[in-house]
Amino acid sequence: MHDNDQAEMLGEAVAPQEQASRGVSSAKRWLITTSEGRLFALMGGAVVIAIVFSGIGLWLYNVSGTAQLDLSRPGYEGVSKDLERDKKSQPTLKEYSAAGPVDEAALKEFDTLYSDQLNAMKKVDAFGGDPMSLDGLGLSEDSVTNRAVE
Amino acid sequence: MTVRTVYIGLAVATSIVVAGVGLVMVRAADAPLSSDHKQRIVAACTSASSSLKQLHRSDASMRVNRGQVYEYISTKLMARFNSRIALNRLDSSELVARSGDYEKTLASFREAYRVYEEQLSGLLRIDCNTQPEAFYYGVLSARQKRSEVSRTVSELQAALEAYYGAFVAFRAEYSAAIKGVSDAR
Repeated sequence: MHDNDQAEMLGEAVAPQEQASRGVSSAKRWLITTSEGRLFALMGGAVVIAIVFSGIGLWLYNVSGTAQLDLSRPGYEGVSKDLERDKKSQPTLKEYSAAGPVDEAALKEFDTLYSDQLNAMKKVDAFGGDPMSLDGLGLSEDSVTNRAVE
Repeated sequence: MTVRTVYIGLAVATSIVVAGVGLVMVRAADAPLSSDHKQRIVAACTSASSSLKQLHRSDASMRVNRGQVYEYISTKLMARFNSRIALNRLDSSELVARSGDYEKTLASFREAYRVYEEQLSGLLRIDCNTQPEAFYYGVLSARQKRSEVSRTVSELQAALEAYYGAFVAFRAEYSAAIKGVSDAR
């Protein structure tokens, strides 16, 4: 017979830790043996798995850079409409075939497609300039102080 | 004094020096602003926040547009051309190497933009009326990160030019070979 059962029979007090461990083991028994317990365990397990995978998905969303491309985020109102408008004014991007002979016509086609994109990108200075300059934003104290801090 | 003692002493001294330099840099970056400066920041708060929000939107638009073009060049042009060359059993090693450099630079661009956008989004959440100092240093940090994005864009442009140079060299070599074959006939 278990020592604690013996102690109880003798009317001796059972330590709180022993009471807690008895509670846990009876809960485990309820979860495994009864149908309600198994249903509860199934639902709880499903919720835990959903939370874990949602957390992983959210982490990937931020780490992979997808968050920066998600134009439905707060603060990006109107950006998707502007992009739709720009898309309509731009020509459709033609795809180059991965199969076929390598002849003068194929090389000329690639040259044209590639050069067009290369020249188009040269025209626009992406992320250039200094729109966040302290003077431009009106945040500078004076020019001497700014040079010292930077 | 043993050699081991000397090495340990040097390592400790180097650590102290590096920590000291780092502490000086941190202190310089977080130097408290004067009250006049803070008042000036609070006075410019509304216009600065509005400008930064507009910049946030325009940079997002630029990122999507540019990203689409970079992806198009990588997957629909470079990869397909390299594949076509390989399928025809021609030497595409230089083109593959240049496209590999381009891919690495593109990954750097994506990461640099992600870091910049996170910084700017965090900055826009700061209330510059109540936290002018945090706002000011946030602007400095975001500005530095944006210049990093600009640097990666320049590197991408250089990588694209390098690939085009490899293509031109390949085309010249191929044309010379074809001409040689036709002359031999």
